[in-house]
Amino acid sequence: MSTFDDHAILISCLKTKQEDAFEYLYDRYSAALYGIVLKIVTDADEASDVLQDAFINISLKIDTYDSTKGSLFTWILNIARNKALDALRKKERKYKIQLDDQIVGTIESKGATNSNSQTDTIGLREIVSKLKPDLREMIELHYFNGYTQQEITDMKGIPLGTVKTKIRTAMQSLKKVFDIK
Amino acid sequence: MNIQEYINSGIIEQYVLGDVSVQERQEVECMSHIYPEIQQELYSQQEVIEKLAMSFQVAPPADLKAKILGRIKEQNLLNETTAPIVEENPDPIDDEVKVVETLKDNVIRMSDAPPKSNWIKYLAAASLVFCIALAGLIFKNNSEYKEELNKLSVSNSGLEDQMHNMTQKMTIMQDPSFQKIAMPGIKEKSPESVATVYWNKKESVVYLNPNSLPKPQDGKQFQLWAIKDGVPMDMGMLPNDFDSNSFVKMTNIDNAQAFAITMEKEGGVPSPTMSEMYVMAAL
Repeated sequence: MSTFDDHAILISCLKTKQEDAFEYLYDRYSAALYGIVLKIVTDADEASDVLQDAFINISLKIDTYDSTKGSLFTWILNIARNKALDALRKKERKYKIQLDDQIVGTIESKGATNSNSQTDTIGLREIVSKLKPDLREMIELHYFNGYTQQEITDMKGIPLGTVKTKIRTAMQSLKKVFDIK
Repeated sequence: MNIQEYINSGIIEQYVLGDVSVQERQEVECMSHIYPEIQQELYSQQEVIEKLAMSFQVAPPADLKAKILGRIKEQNLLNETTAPIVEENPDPIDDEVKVVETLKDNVIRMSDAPPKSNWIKYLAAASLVFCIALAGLIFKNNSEYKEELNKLSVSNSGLEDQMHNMTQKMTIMQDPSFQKIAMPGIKEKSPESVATVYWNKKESVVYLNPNSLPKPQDGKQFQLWAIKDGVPMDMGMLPNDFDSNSFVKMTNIDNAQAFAITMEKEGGVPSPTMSEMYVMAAL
């Protein structure tokens, strides 16, 4: 047990820049953040850089964190994901992958190698993998590859309404499997 | 629309997955502020994402911890000794204001940019009124909703939009792959007019900044043309609500020897009326 398990204490200590609070944050969440970042950028070295940037950003922006908008974990997760998506976009721009088909192809193969090659930590991932393939793909494209619903619509040639419904259904199914009320 | 319909609309998923505009984000935050059911849904969806993240945990390289904590410490020390120098990625508004300030002197007209502190104050004061008004509108469930929502958003996020446009502008102006083509006014027609085309030839992308074009007469609209191999190509219409700060994306073109703007009947014409040419630049 740590006093930082109380998030109100943790947050106020982070705001006053106490080192042990950052250490607690790192110990507790770095694997989750790193996992997401790695899934997005796919390269281990790059993921380390992104994680580093994300933590610096967290410490710089902690004063702006507003607990009414969501938990601390959600907030830092968003920071890490955004950093990772920025890095991904930069990379994509560099390689100028322009054809839609190519993008889909890259993502599909990327997605496939990812979920197979990385070390699983928890059985939860198995639960996620039980989502219907089309729903899982939506979450992959949307959350892990950062495509907007409109972009998915254009890319897959399915109507926006369908994309919206699929994403909502996916989130609702996950809610059920994770047993969240 | 009622609360359940609002939840079912999928907007909360979009919020949680980070696919919302500034306006929508504000909307969801307002709604969850007022309605506990919406807040509950928001929190539980955030929890889904948290669980999802937890399920993909991978331990970072062992040496990373010391590196990261070291950098945080360093940077905190730096901040203590040199007060508010933020070394990287301050909040986006700061960035924009800074860019505006640096470029103020060599850029068209940026005086509309409000100072940051006013902007924040403005938003804070407006936010509660905005939340309540917004909730009323969303649940009013009629066709006026969208229209009124738009009006409300225009007044409330007008400044945010302005910031957004400005950033976009800055990005284009700073991008060396964009060529800036100033089109001076035609002496006989409108000598005081100026408009500028920003053209990324390699990617064929064209933006138009109307600078000092006059307001078009009733029923008329400005149309941009590119002269390609001696043939005028329709590059699209300039929406009539433009102002000197507008930055409008026009039709793509990969090659042109000149750009020009004519005033035509609303909706445009297949070929330009030469006597109605306002500005022109040959390359």
